[in-house]
Amino acid sequence: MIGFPASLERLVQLFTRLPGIGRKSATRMALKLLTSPEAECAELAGAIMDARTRTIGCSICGGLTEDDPCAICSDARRDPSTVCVVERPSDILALERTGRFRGRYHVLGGLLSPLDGIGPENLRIDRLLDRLEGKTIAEIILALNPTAEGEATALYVARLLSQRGINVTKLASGLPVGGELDLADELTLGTALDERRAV
Amino acid sequence: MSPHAAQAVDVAAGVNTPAAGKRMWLRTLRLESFRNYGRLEVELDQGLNFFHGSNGSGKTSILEAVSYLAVARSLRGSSDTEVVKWGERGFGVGGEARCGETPLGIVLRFTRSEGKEVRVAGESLARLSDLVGVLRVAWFSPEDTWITKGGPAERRRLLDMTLCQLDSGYLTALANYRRTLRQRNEALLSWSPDEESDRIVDVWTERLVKYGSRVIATRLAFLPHFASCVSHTHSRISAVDELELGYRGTVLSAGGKEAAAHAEGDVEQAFREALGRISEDERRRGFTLLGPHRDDLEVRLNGRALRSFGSQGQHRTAAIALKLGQAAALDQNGQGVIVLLDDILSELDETRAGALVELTEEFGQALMTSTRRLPKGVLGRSTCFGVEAGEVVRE
Repeated sequence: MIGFPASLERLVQLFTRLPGIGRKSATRMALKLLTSPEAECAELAGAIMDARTRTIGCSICGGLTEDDPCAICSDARRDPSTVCVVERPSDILALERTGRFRGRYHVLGGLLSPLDGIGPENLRIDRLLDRLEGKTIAEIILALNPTAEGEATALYVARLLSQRGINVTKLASGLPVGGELDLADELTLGTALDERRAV
Repeated sequence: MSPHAAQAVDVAAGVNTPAAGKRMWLRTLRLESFRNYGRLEVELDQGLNFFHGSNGSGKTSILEAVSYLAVARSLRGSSDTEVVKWGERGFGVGGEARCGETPLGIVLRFTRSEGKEVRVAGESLARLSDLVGVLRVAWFSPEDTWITKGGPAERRRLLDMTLCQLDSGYLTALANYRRTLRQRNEALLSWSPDEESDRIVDVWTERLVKYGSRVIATRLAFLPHFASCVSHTHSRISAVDELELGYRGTVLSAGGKEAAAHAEGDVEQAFREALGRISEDERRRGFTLLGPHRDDLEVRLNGRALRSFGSQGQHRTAAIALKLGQAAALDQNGQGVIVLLDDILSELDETRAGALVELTEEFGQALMTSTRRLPKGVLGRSTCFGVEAGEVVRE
């Protein structure tokens, strides 16, 4: 059987290393690039390198930025006394899209996982404590995924902060907005029932 | 009375009434390029359908085909490609189910290139999992005696598989519990005598308690209902022995008859305290010593632990009762369960075999295989089929 020419094969191989890209998609992308104008290919190659070299982690919150500190950390209108703790930089984007949060963020860069050898020292927990040192903090909001690791990490951080007398909350879980009761799965509905609140 | 106890009464009544009209049953079964069958169409009856023939004649394949119509896979544990007739590219299984007078066509096709496709009433299903629940089956084979003979893991699996089908919250809690358990064991293994190490272990302990208590509380709440389904089924097969179920827990235990309603908060407290008492031991040994993953569903026969003294026949009877009891417990809306019994008569005496035949008839519909014929007296109103080298003849 005759395969692709070596250079094309290499491109396909490199694409399959990306998340969510299988052999089929990688081949389609590579073949599309072969027939694209050379300028477009150069633009893509340049954009990849550009993004790679210019994007850094904000030295305060850990979010992605080109300028340090990032736009949120340097925005004087954003409330510094409320900090929302997230796992990954992409979580900041999700929360920003809500347009509801006017505080600052802090990226942990992962979750506690003894199985993967990830302890508190591998997360940006120290940086969070440093950040809060000597400041008046009204509330720390833990916005971590409700997985086994997310819940354990939330508990660990919450205990550390409570010791320092800081008010800690976490995101509510419950019914999706606009959803109907009889369509909600039992777990979601059960949690919503457990965590009901006064009207 | 707990809600489960109320259902227990319903199920028991359901089993007592002969073949209720609204039960789902399979009227015809069609096979195409399936195992050793080129093409086969069998008309089945309500009650027991008895298939006899020599080893390798194709009896079990018929039960296997029914399992494809219910769960879109082989409950015999084979892969899809294994059941394709030699030299063919795929197979097909079809059936007409009946619920009262309403017919419902189910067709499953598999080809090596395209995979599986299922049609119910002519409509192609978007996901194979959508088929689950249309036709319910329970499969029993001789290996299932490991449920009573083997270690606690076998019985926990039976309990967990039942609860996961009834309660999706249980499924999530169990998956999170297992994950948290592995994380906690790792944390215990790398524990060193300092404050930070303790803080890490404590966090995983608290999460383990949360998920584990949901698991324990659900099992305890379900036990009376399950125990009554199983004991009832058992008493129908064996008039002499009395079977009881109990939950022998590392945190909390309960007899099968007690209404074991424990609030999740109470279980949490008991679990937390129990772990607190052994915390030094756990840190020394480096793994979690108690929790729902080490609990047992105890099967007692005439007041004694079956596992340590039961005879071959007693084990088989108890295992059948557990499996059929599970089917009854899962059949909450009374839609009926098709019971598939593969070669299970070999170790039962004639009285028990006869009682089992009678019981399966009352279950709705059952398909049973055996290498030996049964006397007419034992078979009652059952329909008999002779199976030989890819041919099925109704007798």
